[in-house]
Amino acid sequence: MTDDDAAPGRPAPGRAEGEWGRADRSGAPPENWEAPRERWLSTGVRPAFGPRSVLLEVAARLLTPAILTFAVFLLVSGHDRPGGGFAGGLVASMAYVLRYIAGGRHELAAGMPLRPNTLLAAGLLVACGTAAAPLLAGHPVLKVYSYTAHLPVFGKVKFASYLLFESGVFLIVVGLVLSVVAALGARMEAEEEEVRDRRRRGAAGREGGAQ
Amino acid sequence: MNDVPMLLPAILVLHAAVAVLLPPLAGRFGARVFLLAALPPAAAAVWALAGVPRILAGSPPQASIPWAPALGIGLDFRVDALALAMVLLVSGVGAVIFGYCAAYFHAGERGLGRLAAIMVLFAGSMLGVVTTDNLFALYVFWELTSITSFLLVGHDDRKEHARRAATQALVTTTGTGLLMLIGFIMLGAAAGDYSISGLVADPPEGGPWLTAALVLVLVGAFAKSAQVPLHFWLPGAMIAPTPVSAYLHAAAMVKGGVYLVARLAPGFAEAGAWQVLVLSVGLATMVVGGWRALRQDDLKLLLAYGTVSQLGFLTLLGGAGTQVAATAMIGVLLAHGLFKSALFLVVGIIDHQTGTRSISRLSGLGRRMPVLAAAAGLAAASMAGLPPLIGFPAKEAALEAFMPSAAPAPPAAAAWAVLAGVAVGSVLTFAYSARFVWGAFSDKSTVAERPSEPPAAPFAAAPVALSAASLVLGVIPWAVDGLAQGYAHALPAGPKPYHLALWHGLTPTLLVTALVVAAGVLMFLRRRAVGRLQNAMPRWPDAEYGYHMFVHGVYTAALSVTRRTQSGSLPVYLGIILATILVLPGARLAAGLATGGIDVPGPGEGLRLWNNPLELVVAAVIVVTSIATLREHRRFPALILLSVLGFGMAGLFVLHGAPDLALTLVLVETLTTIILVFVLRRLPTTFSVRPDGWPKRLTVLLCTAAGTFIAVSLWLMTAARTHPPISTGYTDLAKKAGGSNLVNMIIADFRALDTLGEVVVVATAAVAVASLVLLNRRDRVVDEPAAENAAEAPKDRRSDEEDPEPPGTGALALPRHPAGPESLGAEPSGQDPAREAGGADADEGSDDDR
Amino acid sequence: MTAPGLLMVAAVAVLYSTGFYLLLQRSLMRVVFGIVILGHAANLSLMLTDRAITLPPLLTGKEGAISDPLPQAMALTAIVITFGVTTFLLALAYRVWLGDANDEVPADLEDRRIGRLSEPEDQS
Repeated sequence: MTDDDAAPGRPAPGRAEGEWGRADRSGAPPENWEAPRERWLSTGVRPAFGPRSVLLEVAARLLTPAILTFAVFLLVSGHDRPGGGFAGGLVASMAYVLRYIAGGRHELAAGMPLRPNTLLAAGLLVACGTAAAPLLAGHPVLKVYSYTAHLPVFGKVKFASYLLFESGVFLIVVGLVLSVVAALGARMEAEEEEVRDRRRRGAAGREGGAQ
Repeated sequence: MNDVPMLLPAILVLHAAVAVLLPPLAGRFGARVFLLAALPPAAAAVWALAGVPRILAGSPPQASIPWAPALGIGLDFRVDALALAMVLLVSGVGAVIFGYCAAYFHAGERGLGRLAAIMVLFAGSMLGVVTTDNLFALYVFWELTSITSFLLVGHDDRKEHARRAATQALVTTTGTGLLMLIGFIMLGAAAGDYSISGLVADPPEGGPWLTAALVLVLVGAFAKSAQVPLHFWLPGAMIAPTPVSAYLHAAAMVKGGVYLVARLAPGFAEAGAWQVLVLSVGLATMVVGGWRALRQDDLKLLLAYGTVSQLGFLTLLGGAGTQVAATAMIGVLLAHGLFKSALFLVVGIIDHQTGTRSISRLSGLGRRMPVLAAAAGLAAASMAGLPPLIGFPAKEAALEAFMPSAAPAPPAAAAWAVLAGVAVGSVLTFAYSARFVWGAFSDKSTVAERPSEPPAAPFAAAPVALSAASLVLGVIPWAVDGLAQGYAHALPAGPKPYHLALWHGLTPTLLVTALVVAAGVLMFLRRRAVGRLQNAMPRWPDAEYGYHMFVHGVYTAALSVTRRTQSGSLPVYLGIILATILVLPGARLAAGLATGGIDVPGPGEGLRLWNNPLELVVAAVIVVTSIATLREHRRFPALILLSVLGFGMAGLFVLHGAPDLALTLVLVETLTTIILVFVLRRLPTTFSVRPDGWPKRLTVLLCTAAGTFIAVSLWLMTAARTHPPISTGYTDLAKKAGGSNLVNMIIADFRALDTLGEVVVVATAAVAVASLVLLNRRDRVVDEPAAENAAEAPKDRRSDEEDPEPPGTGALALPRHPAGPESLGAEPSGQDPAREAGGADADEGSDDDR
Repeated sequence: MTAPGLLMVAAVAVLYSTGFYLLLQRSLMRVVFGIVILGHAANLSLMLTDRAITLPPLLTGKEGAISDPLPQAMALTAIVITFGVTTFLLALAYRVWLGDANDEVPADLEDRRIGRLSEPEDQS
């Protein structure tokens, strides 16, 4: 779905080798040496609402890793502090919603690591797998295993299988929000654009026919 | 041979297995599959015969398969003498009839495999009815016979007549079957035991409860056994193929009700309304059935009414509750099964060979089919109660049962009345038996003979065998007597023991029999006079007419209820639900408050305004924003109010010591708002407004009342709580598990199964959203050019669609909001015919309406 | 015996009433709003079943009576489910709008048809 929206040849933001960087073939100082080696903001962006705001776009880009880290923190610390899979998943998806609002559907598609359906499937698989795994050992469904380790830097760290379960919940929540945004936001935006194009073409055709 | 294993459950399974095999085999072997179909009933009959010594010795074989033991439901089987008689009838006669079917049906008969399979299923169900010892299992088998009977009667499903007759039989027997189930439950609840043998051995105390239960059970039994006034379905069911009629409506199914009466009689014959009901209904059925049998021209209908009459007779005997009557009951039961199915089979052969079964068109068959005529004559003689056939000693015993001298049970006056009724019924029986033989086989000078072939030997074998059995058992009545005594000994005995026999000496009973025969002969000879008398009689109110009135009434009532309640308007439906909440639990709450049955927390015992004064702020935000959302008709202001409300809720959660909730709610509110913006900006700028007026005021009132009711109940319920919350134990659990956020420990660990269910719901919602919005991707790609062509006249299409029906009629009517001109989302609908053809429900609906 | 504060009970009453009212509207968007508000109402009801509202149910903080965590867990679940349902309803509303150009709950035509069946019967 969202892959359809990502136009194939569009350089992916952040890792695009632009035409600018390839200029120095002779020994002479490059022609446009002052040009950035990478393109950081994509050019073909149209935000979901209103005019384009570079400030918002940059902020969204910069904030994404921070938001994702915070989401993972919420997920991991959930059994001791407020947080958990739901909150973590919502926060993580918020990062993508922000990017969509700032940059429109292409920006959303570019930033999304996996398709929402993949996320949903992975989440269900992890959650159900964690639920069913104890069955193999003859334990009841959803039995929790935990293991406490002493790591050099972190000190005492506890690993429990409910963290895995919460990760499944996390992935499903991200999948839900992304597929909703993809469907109710990006998809509808694309349809709207299509209609607008068609109407423009239709109007042009009618004018041509009338004269 | 004393130790026959309890094979009954296996035999029942065999019925089902064979039934599954039959349809595929019918395609290859034609009507010969009936020979295979005969196997399970034959096995049952052989098993029953092998068990005779043991059963008569008083140790009935039993088996029990637990089903729902806590509810007293189990597949318990117990084969005593009565059950044995029924098994012999159901399975023995059944096997013979299956053999007959192999000759009766043509290979090309439509649905032959299905017919054979259902007949075997019926045989199995009937076997279950007569052998089970559990009331619920009895009910299940009972209804299985009703359903299979429905399918068999409606075998020729292309005839409207057959369908109607089948439905009639089904409605009558299952409708009353439900009443019977209620009666069963009442009986079982009163006795504390749902096993039939236990119930009969130790019946519950009398009283109105027991009377009501018995009346309900008897209604079910009477309908099954076609007793007046519920008899109308049986003649109608004669539309079924003749072997089916011979089996279901002579030997097996209709005996179900009689069986139930006889089964319960040892325990309940003395109770309340039992005797009055059983004797009066049985007698009325016997006379009415006989009288109407005399009038029929169709041989099959004649037999059908004869069956009604005989079933009345059997009910009478089975329910009378004396030893002699019970002896007679078993005798008549077996005799009737033999002669009636023989006669049905004879009619089947006549129909098969000549193409008619109308008395007024048959002539000279006696000369051309002498063997068949002899068999029919024997069977009819047994029906009329002539020696030396089994019908004679049975009828003798029946008359003896109601001789005032033989009583213990009925008081003298009643005994005389019943005796007179039985005698009249017997006269009628004699007359229609004679009429049958005369009508089928005599030479009638006024009727032209129809060309016909005598039946092939295997075809005629079944009725001949059954008639021969009537004769043999008549000559050795002690064979039946053993069975009869095995059942009857449980009942109160008369002054002297009575046995089925051809000769009891010169008794008053013999005199009555002689009078009956004389009157019967006279009635047959003066049949023209009888016919004139019948025509002169005013027509009685027809029970079938009553049935049709009933069905029609139900249908009309259902439609009118549907029209009043199913207006098609969602608001009305929801309003009805809310009103129901208010009326039922709301009335209870009001009553509890009024009578003081519900504790209201007073000052000092929990009545308080708030936990924390800051709640005042949050509550103000919540109340103001929610009411403002209600009154706001512009989309974005309403949306903003809604999100403020959500954040207010989050604030409340903070105050209530729920940081997790607050965090999650803030995130969810943010996302909800964003997504609502996505969708809302494509929708009209304002919502539709309802006009002020009574409907609106009523809605406001209803909603306020419902909301208040819920809040007040919540308040009272929380105040009434006495037990500590179950989550107190979670603290220790969480410490053990090493987590300190209890809420998340509950979600991820203690109650993780709930969470698993929840994430599945969430994932489903995600997939549903995606598929709803992306529904039309493929056809858009395929039909791009077509869509462009259709783009010319979108406006016309739209007005067409809106034409058929204005939305919202009735109390909650709303004006239709005009589509916003700026709404881009609306365009594809008008321009894309491909989507409309394959697509959304609303479009299809309006297409249908045009 | 403790009961929730009357103020919160009143808030619950207002939330349910407005939720029901919006649910009874023909405009699909208002129905969706009604569902959202009813979700809040249900969550608040769950919270009010707690007898003594005190500290958050975290074992790390100071010792003392903590709130009942079970209603909170249920409400947390309910919040996420409400979100899922809301988005589904939105998609549904959008779909109806695409097909019908009309943001209103359509009448159930099948029900109407059944209702119409009985009319000739009554007239005859």
